Amino acid sequence: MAATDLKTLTPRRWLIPLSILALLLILVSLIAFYMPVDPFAGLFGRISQPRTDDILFKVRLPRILAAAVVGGSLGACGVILQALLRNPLAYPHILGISGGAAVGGVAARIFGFSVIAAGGMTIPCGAAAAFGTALATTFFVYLTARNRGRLEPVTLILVGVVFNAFAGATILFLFAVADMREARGILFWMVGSLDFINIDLFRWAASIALIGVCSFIPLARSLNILTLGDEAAASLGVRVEKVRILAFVGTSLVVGAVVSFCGMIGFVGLIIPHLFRLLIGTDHRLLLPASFLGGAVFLVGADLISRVILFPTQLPVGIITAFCGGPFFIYLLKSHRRRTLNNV
Amino acid sequence: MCEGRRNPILDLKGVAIDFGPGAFRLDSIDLSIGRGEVFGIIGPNGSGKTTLLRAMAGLLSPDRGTVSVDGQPLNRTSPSARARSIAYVPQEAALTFPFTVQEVVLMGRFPYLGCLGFEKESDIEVARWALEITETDHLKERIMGDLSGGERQRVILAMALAQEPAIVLLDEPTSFLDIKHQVNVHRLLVRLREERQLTVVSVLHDLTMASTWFDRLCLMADGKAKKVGPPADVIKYQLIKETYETEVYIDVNAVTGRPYIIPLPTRETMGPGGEKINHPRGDRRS
Repeated sequence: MAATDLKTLTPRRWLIPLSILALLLILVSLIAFYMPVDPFAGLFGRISQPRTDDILFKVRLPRILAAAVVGGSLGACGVILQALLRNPLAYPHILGISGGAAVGGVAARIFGFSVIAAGGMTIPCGAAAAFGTALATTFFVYLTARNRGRLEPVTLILVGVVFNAFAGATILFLFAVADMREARGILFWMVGSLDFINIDLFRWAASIALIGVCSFIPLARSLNILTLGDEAAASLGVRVEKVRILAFVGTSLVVGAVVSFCGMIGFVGLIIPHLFRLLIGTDHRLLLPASFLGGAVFLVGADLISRVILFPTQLPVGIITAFCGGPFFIYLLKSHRRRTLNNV
Repeated sequence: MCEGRRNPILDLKGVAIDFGPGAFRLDSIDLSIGRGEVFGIIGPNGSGKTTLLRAMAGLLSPDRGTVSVDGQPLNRTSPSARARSIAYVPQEAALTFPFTVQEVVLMGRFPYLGCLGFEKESDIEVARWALEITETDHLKERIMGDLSGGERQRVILAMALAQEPAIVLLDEPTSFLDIKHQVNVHRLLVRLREERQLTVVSVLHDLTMASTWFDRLCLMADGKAKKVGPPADVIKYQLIKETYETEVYIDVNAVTGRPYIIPLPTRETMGPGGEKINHPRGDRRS
């Protein structure tokens, strides 16, 4: 027999990259945690403000955790949606769920509902409304895209594009008729920002996001095969429609929770899957957890930059991700087109 | 062959599939395919060849009738149990992401793995065997998208064989292959029939290929099985000419002893018996 050695995923090949990424995440988080309040104070000879435990544990820690959960969820959802829609240009906001969430969030903020208190917790009304509209949008997108009991990738993309356009128009309409005292805050939320963190909200959003992401893990192997086409997948024993519906509902819930929490942070869910496909290959059993950890590292880092780069002004982290993400994505496309897009 | 039919593995009883009023329908097909039989499905475009194959694979559930494998109705078999006995090779696979050849072939082990499982050494062994017998071993590190159509077709076949099926269903397995690889694929399938009692059902356009390599053929026309039998009974002048609405020349190949067929472009030509044949359309024009 010829000396063929097949490279396949072994527990070791799986664990090593994930451990490296986990260590990287811890490292970036520690830097973000211990960064001086005014990082440039030393450079300009100003006296740095003293760090207090309050700032560290009540402001920074939730923010770092939030960035990790949000970045990770967006990275994982990007992987799932690219495989589900069989389209390398798919990203978490493509299905219109984010647009739906944004409409709810913007409306609640414009009409001035502030906080609802339930069960001893306070949830900002904007976030609750955003999640509510995200759920409603999920339901409508599903009903619209379903055709004879099947969810076709192309139909899903088209329906998503239409829902996003409709949501965009609705938001512009709300802006046009509303009193704009809060415009800046609303705009920052829409671009994607971690400035509006509330620990109760974080608990809710993070639980939904993490449960959702964990439910993706058993789908990873089926997704590998689903990218070869419905027929090939079905003949290998994949329950194509079941996997598709689970992936659609799962990503919609996670994206809805994340967007309600911190707005439409862009680019993480598009570039992280491509970056890791380039680094570690296409096998979703590894790509999915790696994109989760990688997305977390990326967003914790981007949030750190957004906090310090224009100190004392804080930029919405969505601006940083798009600034870094756009050019980086172009670079990936130009230099590694074959590895990333399969030369088609 | 006859012995094969006495020991059927794939049984279709009154299988009918409707695609809505006025649309195409598959009409009450009865077929019994024996273990180790190499069975070809031929017929004009749109005659229902691929639909029939997909019904055999359990990818389409019939509106009436049953498909059963080893006496078990397919619609009562779980998808992964089905995938362990039937492999289906589509004409082409989608290539969205840059999987390597070895990754694709290892996907053939999907129905044997647990929910989170990594491939075991035995799975790798099977994938290695599939790569070797399909002569795709040297491609294992390459990315699917970089391969030629013919190489890709062989890799998809390797994936199907890695499923270790009892029945392999192929949709035009040699459409992108050069003659060397066409012959090699058919020789391989015949060899696997000898060694492993593999049952092969294949949709084919090349009638001479069908006649040369297959035990029995099913000629489809308008969703019906118009004729089922050994190549000598199906590749018949009148039958082929009518079904395909094409003038053909048919003779017996002295080397293989099987009929071969040449489609004719001319208005008038010689038939197998040497008699003059009038081209039906030509007649109308003149």
